[in-house]
Amino acid sequence: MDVNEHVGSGAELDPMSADSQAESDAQLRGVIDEYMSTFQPEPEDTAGVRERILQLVRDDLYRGPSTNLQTEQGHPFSISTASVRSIVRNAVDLVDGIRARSVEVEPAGDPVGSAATVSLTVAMRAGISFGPTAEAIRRSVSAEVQAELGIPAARIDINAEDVYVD
Amino acid sequence: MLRMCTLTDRGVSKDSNLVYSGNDSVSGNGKEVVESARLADSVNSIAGVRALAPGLRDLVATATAKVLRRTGDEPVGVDVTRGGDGVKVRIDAHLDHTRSVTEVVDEIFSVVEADIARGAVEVSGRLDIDLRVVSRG
Repeated sequence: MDVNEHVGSGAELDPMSADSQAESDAQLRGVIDEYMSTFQPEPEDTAGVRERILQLVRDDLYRGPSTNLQTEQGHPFSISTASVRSIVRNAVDLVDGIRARSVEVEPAGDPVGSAATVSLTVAMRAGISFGPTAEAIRRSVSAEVQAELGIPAARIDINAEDVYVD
Repeated sequence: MLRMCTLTDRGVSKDSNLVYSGNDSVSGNGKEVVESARLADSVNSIAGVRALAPGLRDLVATATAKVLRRTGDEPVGVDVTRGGDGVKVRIDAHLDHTRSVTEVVDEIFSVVEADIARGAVEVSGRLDIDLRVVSRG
C-alpha cells in the first residue's frame, strides 16, 4: 500500500478559482449522485434537488485558504492559513512594544512543507530600537511555531511599517 | 451499524427509503459509510482532536435534509471513498491546544493505518489520506 506523497504548491491563494471550483463541483456531484442513489425521495421533492443540494454543500464546504505542510515523519497535511497566522500573531504580540499587522506563512524546507517561512509586518512603539527587537520577535515566532505547529520556521522576515505612541 | 444519514418525515423513520445491497453484509456505499464511522471513532479518541468537521457525505446528507425539509442524523466526520486506484480517506479535524499540530497529525495517520491493518477498512491499491486541520483552539 502506498501512502500519498505530499502534493500541493503551498498556500492556496485562490482556493475557489475556476478550475478548483469545477473540480470541487464535479466531486460534489459525484457524492450527491452516490447519496441520491441510496435514497428515494418523493417525486414532488426531486425538482431541482441536486442543484439546491450542490449550492448548500458548496457554501458549507468553503472554509478559506489552507497551507500545505508535513510532519518530520513525512505525513502531509493542510492547515487553515488563519490558524497558522493566529499562531504567529500571538507570538509577535508577546514581544513588548510590538503589534503584529500582516502575517504570511509559506511552506519551505526540503521536502517542501517540512518547514515554513514567515513574513510579517509590525508596528513598533516609538523609542524602541529595531535591531534587538527584531531578534526578540524572531525568537518568539520561532519558538511558538515549533511548539504549536511542530515544524521549524526556516526564515522570518520582518518589516516595520509603522510607529505608534502609547 | 449503518451510519448513513437517516431522513425522517414528520418524525417517522424513513429508513425503508435507504437501499443497500446484500442482506447480511454491507457493500458499496453502505460499506464506506460503516468504514468511515469506524475511523471517525478512532480519530475522535486521539488526544488533541477536539472534533471532526462534517465530511462531504455528511454535508450532502445535511443539505438534502434541508432541501427536503427533513431532519438529519449526526455527522460522521470522516469520508472513506474508493476510486479506480485505491482508497481515499478524507478527514477535516478541529484540534485543541494540548499538543503540537504535527504530533496529532502523526498520531492520526498512525491510528488510521492501524485500523486499516486490522481490517476496519478494506484497502487495495493506493491509500490516500487527505487530512486538513480546520481550526485549533
